[in-house]
Amino acid sequence: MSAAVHLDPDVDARPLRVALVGNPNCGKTALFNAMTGSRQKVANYPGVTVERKEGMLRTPNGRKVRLLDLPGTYSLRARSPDEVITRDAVLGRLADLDSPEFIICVGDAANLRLCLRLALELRNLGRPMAMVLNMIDIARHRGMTIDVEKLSRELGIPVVTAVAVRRSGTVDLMALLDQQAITHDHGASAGPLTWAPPDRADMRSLQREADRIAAACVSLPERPHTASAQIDAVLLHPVGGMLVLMGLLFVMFQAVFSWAQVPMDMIKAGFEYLGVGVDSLIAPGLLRSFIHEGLISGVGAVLVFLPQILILFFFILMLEDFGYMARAAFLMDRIMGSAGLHGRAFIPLLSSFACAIPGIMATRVIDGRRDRLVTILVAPLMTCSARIPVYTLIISAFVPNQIVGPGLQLQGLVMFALYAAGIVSALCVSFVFRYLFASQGGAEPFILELPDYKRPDMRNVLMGLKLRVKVFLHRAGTTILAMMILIWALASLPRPPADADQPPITYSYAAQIGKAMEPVFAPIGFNWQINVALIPGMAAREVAVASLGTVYAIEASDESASELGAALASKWSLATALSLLAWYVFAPQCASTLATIRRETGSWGWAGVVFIYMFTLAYGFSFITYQTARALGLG
Amino acid sequence: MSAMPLPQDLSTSLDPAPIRLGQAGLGFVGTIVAIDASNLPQSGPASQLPAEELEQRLLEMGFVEGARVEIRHQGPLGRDPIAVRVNQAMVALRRAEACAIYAQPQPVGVR
Repeated sequence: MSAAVHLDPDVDARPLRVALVGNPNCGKTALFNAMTGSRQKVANYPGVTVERKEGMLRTPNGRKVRLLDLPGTYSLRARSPDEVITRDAVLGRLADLDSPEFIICVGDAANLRLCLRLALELRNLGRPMAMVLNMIDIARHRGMTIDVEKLSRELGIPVVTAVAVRRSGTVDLMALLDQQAITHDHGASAGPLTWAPPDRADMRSLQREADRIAAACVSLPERPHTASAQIDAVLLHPVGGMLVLMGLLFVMFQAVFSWAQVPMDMIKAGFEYLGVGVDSLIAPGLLRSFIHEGLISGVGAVLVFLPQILILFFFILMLEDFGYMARAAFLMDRIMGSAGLHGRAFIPLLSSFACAIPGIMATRVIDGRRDRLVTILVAPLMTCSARIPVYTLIISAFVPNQIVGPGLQLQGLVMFALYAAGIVSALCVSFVFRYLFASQGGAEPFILELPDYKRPDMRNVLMGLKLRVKVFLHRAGTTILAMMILIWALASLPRPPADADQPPITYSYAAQIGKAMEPVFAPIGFNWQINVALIPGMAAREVAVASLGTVYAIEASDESASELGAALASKWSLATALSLLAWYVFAPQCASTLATIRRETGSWGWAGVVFIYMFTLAYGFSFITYQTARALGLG
Repeated sequence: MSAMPLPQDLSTSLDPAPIRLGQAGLGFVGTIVAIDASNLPQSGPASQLPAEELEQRLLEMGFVEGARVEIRHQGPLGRDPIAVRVNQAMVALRRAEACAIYAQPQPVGVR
């Protein structure tokens, strides 16, 4: 083809719609990133929270292509919500998405067997398509030779090779798209296709055909590839593998909590500085309060978690790219299975230690509806980072800083106990839900491909990270901000009278609610000041710390944790402090988590279930803690 | 293999007799002779999928008659799940589900 071919501006104006389809772990997203660069946008498909990743690109001859990255699947016979999207998008069944005019089936060149079957399944649809043998460098390095021309003849579609993670690794694919853009009949719009799911006999014959083609076109090396097997000998070892997994988790948490500290302090200081700046510009009053306490503090309270989320996802994406995450699920499946959780729930629950929101979003990888639902319901019990400021405040104020054993420090021990309480309760709750939700579909089998290990590609990891950050910031700017404003209004309105001698929050609706709640919360040792702090704490758990400072009339400017701690130590009994700790292990104190559950499950009902069961647990355990402590003379 | 034989026929017609992959030990090497989830023994955490659906999923992961399988790893608790080499790919699954896979052991020495 020559550069002179692209001429007609009308044709050029409408981009060619191309979809990427492939097995999980085939490097499809890396290919998408390589082809579209930063020209990507992510939205959700309507009604479901499957991410819709689209990007624009220009072929060498200047044709515009709209590239859609569809979730990985083994067959069009979809099972998980992600796979349903892939099927419906390919078949043109999605209402707001024109069906793709060209399908690119992406396969891992070193592991073609299942991908060839998917390609045959797609080919049977009769839509224009091609196949890309991705990661061809790895296959060649292992001594495999693939007869690309023969493969193309056997499949009856164009086949090209690619190395997504290398510069100019997609040249052939781009040239192919160019050709496609030229030959494509732009007048005809591809409508929905008729399709029937393949049955067992179809699947068998498709796989046999795929195996026949693979045998004819791929020659394997004399000596099989052993690097992955050698790594697995350690990482999947029943004892060694578990030790490595525990060590990895330890390093991850260490990183999340220590590395994140400096940037978190900087973000916090930045927002405080911004607030002070606003104070100097605007006269005291409702507007200043709204901008400072409502907007700036509200957004700051959420953004402060960005470093932790970044570090956690950096680890998760690196391990995912390396191929380790499937191994972690393998090692944990039986252990988690005894509590009614699926092995794949391991990663979402791990993410929930940073924040339940990305954790709940990560449950999309779980196929079965019941397994996914149980994971979503228990994810908020994992000790998220927003609980840490509350724990730290109360522990430093009430738990003596003494050594109780070699290397064991009492405050650290209490912190550990709180984490353990979260994990144990999550396991118990999932055990119960597993039986309660029998009607939500049976337990899913655990069948998971363990991909060959490969060196993580930094560019890919960073692009994945960028995506996470974008999603998080978008949420902080919309849902969470709206919640923050509502909660600010409750805590700031009505304004205190001119002759007020109490902190302004004591005159607010929040205080009225707090006082009204007193009879309910007195049995668990909460005074009305705590009740008031719990209301802004619904925006983000750690906001409760700042609110306690406000209620106890400690000026925000010279507030320090130790000062607040000292004030609390003089005003609360130990029983109350312990009760509040127990409360924070369980309480549904996070409006954005509830909103995320609604979005992911598609109904407020499940968010309600979470709220009620967590509230019940929180109240119950706080009650037991408070009454026991009082009986022991600590009240 | 043209028609899918029933498991009970397999035990008499083939030598060595096929066994369920879910009951095979670490290091087992063999060739799949049938996928049949209709008669699973109850052991360990089993899924509640209809037999057809489980067969379909096993087929999707490349467990088809004629494929070579090898049990490479097993989980830390109850030797479950297992990591199986299927031709060139590695697939993890629970023993309960692997019982739907019938494989004829490869004679020792022929690997």
